[in-house]
Amino acid sequence: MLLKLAIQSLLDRKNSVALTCIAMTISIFVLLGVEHIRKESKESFSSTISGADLIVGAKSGRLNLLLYSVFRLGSPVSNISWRSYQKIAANTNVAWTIPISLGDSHKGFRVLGTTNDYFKHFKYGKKQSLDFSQGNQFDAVFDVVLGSGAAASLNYQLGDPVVLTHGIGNTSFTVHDKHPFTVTGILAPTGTPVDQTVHVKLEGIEAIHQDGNLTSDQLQPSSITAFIVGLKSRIATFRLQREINELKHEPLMAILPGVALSELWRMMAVFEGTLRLISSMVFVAALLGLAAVMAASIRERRKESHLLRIIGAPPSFLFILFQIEALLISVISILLASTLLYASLTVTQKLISAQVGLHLGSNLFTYNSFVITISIVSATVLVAALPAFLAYHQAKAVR
Amino acid sequence: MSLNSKEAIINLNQIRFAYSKESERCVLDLPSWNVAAEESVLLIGESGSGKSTLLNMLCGILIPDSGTMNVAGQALETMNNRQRDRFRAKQIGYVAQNFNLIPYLSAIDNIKLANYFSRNASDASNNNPNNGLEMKALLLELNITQEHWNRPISQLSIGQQQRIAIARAVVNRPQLLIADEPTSSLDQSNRDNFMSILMATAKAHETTLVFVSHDLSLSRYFDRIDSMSDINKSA
Repeated sequence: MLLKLAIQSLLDRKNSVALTCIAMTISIFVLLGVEHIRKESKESFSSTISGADLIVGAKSGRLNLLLYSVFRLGSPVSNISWRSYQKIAANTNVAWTIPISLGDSHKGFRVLGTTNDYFKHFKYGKKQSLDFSQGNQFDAVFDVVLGSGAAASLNYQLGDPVVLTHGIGNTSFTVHDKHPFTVTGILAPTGTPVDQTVHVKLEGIEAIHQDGNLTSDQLQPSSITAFIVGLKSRIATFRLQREINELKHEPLMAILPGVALSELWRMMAVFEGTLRLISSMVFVAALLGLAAVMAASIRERRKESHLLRIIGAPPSFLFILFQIEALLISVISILLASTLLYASLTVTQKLISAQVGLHLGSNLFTYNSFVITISIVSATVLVAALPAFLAYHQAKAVR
Repeated sequence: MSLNSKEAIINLNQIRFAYSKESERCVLDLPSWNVAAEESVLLIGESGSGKSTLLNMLCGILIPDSGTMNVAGQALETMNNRQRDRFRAKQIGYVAQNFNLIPYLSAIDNIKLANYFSRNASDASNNNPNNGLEMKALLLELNITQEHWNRPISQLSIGQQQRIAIARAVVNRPQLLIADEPTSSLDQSNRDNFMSILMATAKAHETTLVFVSHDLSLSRYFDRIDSMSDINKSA
């Protein structure tokens, strides 16, 4: 009966209730959205690379190296020489290496020059290897392996010719159309930046930067951007890192991906805190709006309150009625906001994945969002207590 | 009719009441007032004569500053708030000005609501099926057709609202029925209609009726006519 009364009463004032619901929905949407994106982006970042012990590149910022080598964000400062790479790769502690050569693009997708070791040793998520959904790894110099997202967006099939340009971006001044490449493989989706990458052989990268007849000597790369190192034993990690950092003939830097990532989280913490604070403020504002609307309705509901008293309702009934109405608005808003968030995540997932290389899952039923929901409900009860008390007070003071 | 043969259902003695302790003005100063069971009383009074205060007191919403009051066998001034709310739900039927039904609830839900507050904690859980039958019988008795039971009050005619208000007032089989100027905004035919239904229902349910109005033309319906200015020394 109480619930029915609350529902009917809300329906009777549907205009102001609807507006309040919209304000609450938007604020909860922001609150849940910020939390969700924060968590998902962290997860996405953490699962982009796994099983790599060191990343080696030219001396610059640790984060910078991590971002451009693994996440394809930002630009490399300078390259490292092929000789240094060969030297470190030959170290007795090194089990495998993956050379990476960046700087070119194809229709907005980054081109990554590497070797077949990439498909053999690169791991993401929970130490998962890259799988081919179609075709195979590189065979000839002009072979191309596409990430699943790139293949889907560009609508390329196996055997299709591809023209690569020098530089990053869609419209490059120098279009290298002399050496058409051929798609030989398409990777299975990984939910990492690999999906948005066009992979070619290191020799292929050299080829698009040269004119005339190509000899195998000319195709020998003279430099690469960075390389990923896997060690035989992790015990050697720090020793090798130090050796690389102290190399005399070339300023190199080796980073531990996990350490660099945690550095990134520390930097992001302030930003996250600010976002959280802002979204909480927005929610508090919406909640106060709810309380204001309810408080304003008390006067117009005076008759109703008196009538309820006359037929035997204790004043506490009015308190509970107001609380239930506030809770109904809050619960409806939570449901609306979750639906909205789910829908917008589903719609924008591909776009975000393509633009930023972040894979945002749309599973909202996490422990975090549960905690937030409980907090929203508790905050509603707390704030609605004020108008509910005013209603109680009015019901008690009959004149 | 010999009034003395029946026991008094309202018995007020030396009642005094003021809304604020600071103001000297006493709203109610009532040496003695009695109503016998099944009696129907028309209480005549101008606005400001303490009518509403007296009615709120009979319901147990207000309690006197001093004096003793016995309504339907209960000494109201000795009960706590919770007990008085319960008493009001069970023993008092109330028909207010403009009938005061909750506009967004249906006819049947308005009546159920009155029923909801009168139920004991013990039978609140098992939703007594007899209540439903009684309610339907009552609605039919008051000539409210089934098609109107589930419509919101705001969609019903004045005549229908009157009858639903009466149904709600008597659904809990109260000992005392209180009507607070229910006819003041009605036209002649609606008023006559309402009065005859109200009187017949009160008689049929053997309920005592206290009817407040300033309309002396209603006198013919009642056993007894009291004037506020006679019983309240503050008026």
